[in-house]
Amino acid sequence: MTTFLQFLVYGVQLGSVYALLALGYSMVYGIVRMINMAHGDFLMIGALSAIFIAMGFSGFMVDGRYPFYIVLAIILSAMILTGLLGVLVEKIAYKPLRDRPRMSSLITAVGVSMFLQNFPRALPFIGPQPRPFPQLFPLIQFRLGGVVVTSTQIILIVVSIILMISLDAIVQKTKFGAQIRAVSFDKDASLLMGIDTNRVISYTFLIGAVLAAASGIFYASIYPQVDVYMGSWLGTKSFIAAVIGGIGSIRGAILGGFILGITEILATSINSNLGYGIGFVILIVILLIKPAGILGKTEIDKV
Amino acid sequence: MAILEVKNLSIEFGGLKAVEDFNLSLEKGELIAIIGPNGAGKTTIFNMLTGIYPPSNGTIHLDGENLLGRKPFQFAQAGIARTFQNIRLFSNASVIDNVKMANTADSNENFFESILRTPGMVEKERQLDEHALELLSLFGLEGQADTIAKNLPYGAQRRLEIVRALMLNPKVLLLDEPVAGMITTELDEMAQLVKELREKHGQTIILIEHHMNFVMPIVDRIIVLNFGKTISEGTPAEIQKDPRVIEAYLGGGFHGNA
Amino acid sequence: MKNKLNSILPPVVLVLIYFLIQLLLSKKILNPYHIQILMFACVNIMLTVSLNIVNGFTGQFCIGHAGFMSLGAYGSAIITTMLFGGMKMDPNLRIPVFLLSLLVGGILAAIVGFLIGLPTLKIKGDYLAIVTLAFGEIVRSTLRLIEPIGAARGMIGIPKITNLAWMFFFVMITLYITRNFVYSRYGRASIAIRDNEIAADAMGINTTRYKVIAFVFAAFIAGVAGGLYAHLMTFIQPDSFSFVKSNELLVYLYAGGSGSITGSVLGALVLTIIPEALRFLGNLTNWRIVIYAVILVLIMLYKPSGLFGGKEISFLRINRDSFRKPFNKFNDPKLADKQNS
Repeated sequence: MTTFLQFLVYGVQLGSVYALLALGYSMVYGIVRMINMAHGDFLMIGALSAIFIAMGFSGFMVDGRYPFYIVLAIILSAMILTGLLGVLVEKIAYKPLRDRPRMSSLITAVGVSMFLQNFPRALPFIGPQPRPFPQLFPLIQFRLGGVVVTSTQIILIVVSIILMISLDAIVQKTKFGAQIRAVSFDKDASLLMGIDTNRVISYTFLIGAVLAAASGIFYASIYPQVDVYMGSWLGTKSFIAAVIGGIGSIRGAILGGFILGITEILATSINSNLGYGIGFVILIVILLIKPAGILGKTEIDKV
Repeated sequence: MAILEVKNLSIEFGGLKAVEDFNLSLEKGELIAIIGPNGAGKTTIFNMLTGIYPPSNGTIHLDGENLLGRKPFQFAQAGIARTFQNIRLFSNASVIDNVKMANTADSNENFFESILRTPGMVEKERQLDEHALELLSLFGLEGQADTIAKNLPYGAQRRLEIVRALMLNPKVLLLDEPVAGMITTELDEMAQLVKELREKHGQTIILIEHHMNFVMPIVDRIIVLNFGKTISEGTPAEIQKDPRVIEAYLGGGFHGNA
Repeated sequence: MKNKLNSILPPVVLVLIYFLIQLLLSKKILNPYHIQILMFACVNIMLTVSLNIVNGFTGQFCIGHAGFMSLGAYGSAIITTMLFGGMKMDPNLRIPVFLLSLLVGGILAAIVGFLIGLPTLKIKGDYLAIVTLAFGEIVRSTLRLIEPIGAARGMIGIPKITNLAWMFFFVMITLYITRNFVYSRYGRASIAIRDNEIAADAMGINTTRYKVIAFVFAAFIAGVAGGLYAHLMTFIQPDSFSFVKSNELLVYLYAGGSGSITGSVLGALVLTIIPEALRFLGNLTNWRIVIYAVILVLIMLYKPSGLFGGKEISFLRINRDSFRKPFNKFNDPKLADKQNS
């Protein structure tokens, strides 16, 4: 039982990383009906930029540690930087293709993904080697019964959940959230209602990329290694999480993220090689039973 | 026995009844029209008759065979072919290929014959071509067989959609606003073609149309829908006199060209 | 007469090119390294053409094509290394065993393609993209774990049997059967699905069935190409078949123009050779994929039909005249009448 609870902690921690990333896939898909294949790479950019920003702040270190307000500054600036990159990518690469067949933007997204991975890889000061991630959060161990929980884990899980709840609140309760929902329901009608759809779409990409950067920093804080390809497989898994939960649905993405994180850790505990495959198996099963995902709604084709 | 027997067909979208208790008994060789204001549920009925929307209630029998629960392609194979209100051609394929595509289910050459292009397969292709050209010539399109479909003029695209549907050799042909957006001369031409299809080829047809002067002279019967319900049914002459229809036209803001 | 010529000409031209290359080789204008590059280009042609069947003609989106290539490569390499390695083999059996191994590799890829294609292609939407991406990575990470085939280190000592003549032969066959596929009811059904899936469904086309057929056919060709690659390289490792390889194939495909077989051939040929030709500029390996990424995005933005405009050369087209009986039109009184009127 103790081991199970211990794995559950790991599962929730991985699940919150997946959930944060899955939110971006789900929101973008909901609003422009496009799989942003480059979304996972925002995670990598977030983690990578945090490394370089932290390097820049190294003068502020006290006893080899960053003070709290510097950590906050590092994380926020990495998130903002990644968020702006998200908006830029949308403006340059996706917006011109919005009225073309869906395939076009999917292919372009693959191109953007290739670029985001390989441009840093080709830069001499980044390169293909994994680099260590600085320790931003304090690492104090707590024992609850037989279960070990670190302060990093607690911070990460709590902050992720706060981010998710506030996003859900923004989308459900605010005027801006209503605009997001309107655009995802019918873009043309929203335009007629006087909603600036371009602005809404830009903000959606901004939010998605900001959350991706957060998940990248959190992921790198648990597994402190960053390389240019990390976004690709974490992105694939988070997308699977979004589909499991029901793509287009915010709560679905969160649910899917936690389901995937927990099952993956449990599967890995049985056999270390089962981890990658399990998400794929769940995906296929979900696609067969409920193609729209657990919380997704089946769309009716307009004929 | 009726070739198409539809009973109590109903469908809801999110609690809203789009079509309620639609009944139809269609005899072989009949030509009928379904009319009604916009949003009355006409196209929704076509979507149910072709398996695209599963009805929440009711039955569909074609030639005594129950079609409910089948997929759209099986409705087509069973013998219900349609055209679309907003043209849906295979726009990057040639005109003749558009027609041949509707024959896919009937072609029986296997995969290996196809990729090796055996003489038997080539012969079947040739026969298929001839058949397609024959149908195209009914609608005066044989000269444009090799044109890419999206380059055809609008009226020709509408005609091509009908030819494509005919390739399925349908027991019932559903035409969804075949003259929408056409000018008067094209309209007369289309009326002539539809009449011919029925008279010379014995084709059973259901039409959805707004243009009353297109519908009235050629159909046997008209069903009038309003808000998903059948409000009147009868010959064109009877319909024109029915006060409920006039009410729906005037009161419901009917924008047809009656 | 013209059609006869049309069907004989391409193999003749290819044979002539082959002898020209041999001549240049003997005159030392070309060296074996050039030939190696050309053979890689041929493998890439087969892969790109097969990817085109799924992405270009059927309008689906597969981004894990290297996964099928790896299944074919490993499948065929296991057979030949096992049979050639252990016992003394009759040299006359080398080629038949090689061909058999390619067939097995292709069939293996096709079976796996069927298993992942069936559940995925049933559903409308872009799920195939993500499923194939995950599939490619799962195949790779699985191969990395299997010790008897060298795990992450890969397989070595695969007999070198693939040569330029075999490569040309298989490219020719690939182009021939792909063209025939496109101009058959299978290809027509695929194109119908691509152009308008709802209409295809309404015209009695079992869309899932034809999508799966196209996908399995493409997987088979990719598997055979993988087998040829293994017997050209003589060593293979799981990481050569990662999503990086799949992405490269996407660039070849869309640069050449999706939905055009000629485009795939040119895209794969030109983009395989150019980076090699530019080697004198220094080591471009790191920047090559960055440039490919930019090409891909620019093409989608400004020239979606591809750099070569989506044209098809005559060998890769089938005109209706080629199988219409010569004077059929005039024999048919009805049509003849229409002609006159």
